[in-house]
Amino acid sequence: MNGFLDRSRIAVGLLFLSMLAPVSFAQTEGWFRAATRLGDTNQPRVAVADFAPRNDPAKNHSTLFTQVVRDDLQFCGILELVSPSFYPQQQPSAPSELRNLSWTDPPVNSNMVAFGNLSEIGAEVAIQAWLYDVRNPSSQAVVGKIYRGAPTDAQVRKFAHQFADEIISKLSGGLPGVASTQIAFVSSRTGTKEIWVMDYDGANQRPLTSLKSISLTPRWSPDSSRIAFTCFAPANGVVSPQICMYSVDSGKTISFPRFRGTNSSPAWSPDGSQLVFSSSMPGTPEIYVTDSNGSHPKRLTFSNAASTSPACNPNTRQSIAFVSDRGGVPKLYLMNADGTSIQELDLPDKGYLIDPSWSPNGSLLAFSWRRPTGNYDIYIMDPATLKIIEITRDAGRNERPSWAPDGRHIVFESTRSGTRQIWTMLADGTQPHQLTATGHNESPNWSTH
Amino acid sequence: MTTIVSTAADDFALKKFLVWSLSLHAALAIALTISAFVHWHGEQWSGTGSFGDATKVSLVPSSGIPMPQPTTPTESKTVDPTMSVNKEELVKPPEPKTDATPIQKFKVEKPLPPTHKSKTFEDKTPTPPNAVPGHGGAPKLPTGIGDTAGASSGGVAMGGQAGGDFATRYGWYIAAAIRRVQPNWDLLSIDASVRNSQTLHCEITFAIQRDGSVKNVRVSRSSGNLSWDNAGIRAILASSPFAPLPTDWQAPDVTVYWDFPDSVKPR
Repeated sequence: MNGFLDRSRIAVGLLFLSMLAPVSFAQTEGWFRAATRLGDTNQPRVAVADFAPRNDPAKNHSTLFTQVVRDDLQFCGILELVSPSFYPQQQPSAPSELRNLSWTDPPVNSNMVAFGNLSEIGAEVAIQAWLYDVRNPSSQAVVGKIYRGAPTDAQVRKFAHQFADEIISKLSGGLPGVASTQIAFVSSRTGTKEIWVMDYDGANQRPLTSLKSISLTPRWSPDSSRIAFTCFAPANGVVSPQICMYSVDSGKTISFPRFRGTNSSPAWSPDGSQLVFSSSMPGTPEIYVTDSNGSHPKRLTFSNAASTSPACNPNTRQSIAFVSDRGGVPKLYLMNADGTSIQELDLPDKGYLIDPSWSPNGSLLAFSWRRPTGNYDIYIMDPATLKIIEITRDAGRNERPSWAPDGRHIVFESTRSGTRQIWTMLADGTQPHQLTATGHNESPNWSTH
Repeated sequence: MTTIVSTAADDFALKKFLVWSLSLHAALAIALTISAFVHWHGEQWSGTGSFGDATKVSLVPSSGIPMPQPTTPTESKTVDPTMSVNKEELVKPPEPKTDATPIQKFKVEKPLPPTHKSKTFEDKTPTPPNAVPGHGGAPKLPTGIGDTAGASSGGVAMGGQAGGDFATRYGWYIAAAIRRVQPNWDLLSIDASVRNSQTLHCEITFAIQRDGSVKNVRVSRSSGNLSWDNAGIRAILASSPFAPLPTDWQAPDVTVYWDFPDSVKPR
């Protein structure tokens, strides 16, 4: 009798286990296989349908929204925007109207379609925007958003930038888009060099400072709340270059201690808690580090030669690139954040080297270099292997590169159009865009947000 | 139950036993005390000298103790040709001739089955007209015990697709992940001698959590070259965290099998 009970217990146990088997099979549904190719990846083809106005007042903003989204996607460099001239006649304004086949068939051949509608009722604009994967038979919504806000051009632009960033983030596998970022720069169009700011695409150019003197080298703080720059501020009848600080939140310059001598080219530490700059308080320009409010200055270089243009590595947080002529001519050097371990970055040629700028992932350094036989051109170097690539050539003087937070774009100043203006390009040198045209514009810096 | 009653005769025998017992006990006690003394004497050299002190022992790292260098035994004590200045080559004694045939080494390892091409995007099979709306014509049931056991929804690829349910629904996510990893596969970190290989292939397996972080990155199929495998692992780690999993994906994670590079042509 005992034996029968034991056996029945075993049988029940086995039955239970066998019931678990399908559960474990079902859980292995959550997998996929992928591969990295030896060549280039295909860029997805994305179409942006005309966003439909649901009522008359929304007509202008619909056109604006569609145009800004298309421009942002055209710029981003990770996808191919299908030309609107290929789009089918009937364009959807809501998911129920989407016909996959009309967007996957030639000549459109797209992988993704963005579409939606705008309505303006009273003092509010409401935008419904979707991104669909039209190659998937079970029609997948990749992005579905509703934006509500004031019915102004500026607000509609903002929403369009946000939607484009959403698309870019989904299609790049999580990397951020730059559609909502800004570029700070120096413009002399008012007569004196002041700090200006504009959207990443050149829209909304507006002045930040009006110090009526000379303001140079603006640098965004990592949280985009402040801009540090070099200013020639008079005090007690003495005019000397000093580090000045502009607060974006309050809209005015805030105080920063004055130091003896020439103080210029500020750079932020990656966490925004410290500021590194070049100061000649000991006699020759050396690299100093202070807290972000200017207190506790500490000297980092001790070479009795000129050291300037520091740039902190945003990834390793430990190394600072700077320019120094301790070897006789201006060259690039690397050192630890505490000033130790100074190492020269060997270049295969002589010449003047200026403006190092780290890429957001900390593995590449962009700089401007005038080789003895040539002109100032922008180069990118991998400090680990000392390999360099030239990304501008035979197109005027190209200086002061600054990386975009997506690690794919660079903003710089160039004289290729005849006057000194701000340009952007992809980090391989392709797709140059001119952003400014009025007056002289230089020294751009790309914000991280 | 019998009771023991002591008789006079037993008394006498009992006494004898008692005497023996007591004397032996005493002898034992004496022997113990003597042995205690003897032990104590033996330990005195390490103790502090006073009776009953515990000896303190502290660990001394071996690097603090000067130890003699281990001697490498040399074959011949008289002349060691490897120690001479001229460093003559050691002449190997000729191998004895035997008529034994050498054991055959395996010539070629069994070739791996060709990896099928990963089709993450295309699924041109039209849904049958009477299909229940849902994913790919199958009724949209929650994953779990409700699914039929061992059905094609198991770890078996459905109809040529390189993945289970996830690949059907989120082809765009997989394509984006591929684009993310592509620039992070650093061929320069691979040994120069195999860098341009068209035949090496490794597979890295890992899991992407809901928030995009990766777990359990490991080489599930090695290429045979350590630097090739490591380049694959570094590519995945450099691309992490991935984008968060789509919000309507129920499971807490998704397992990924990644080929570096994609389908090596089978020989």
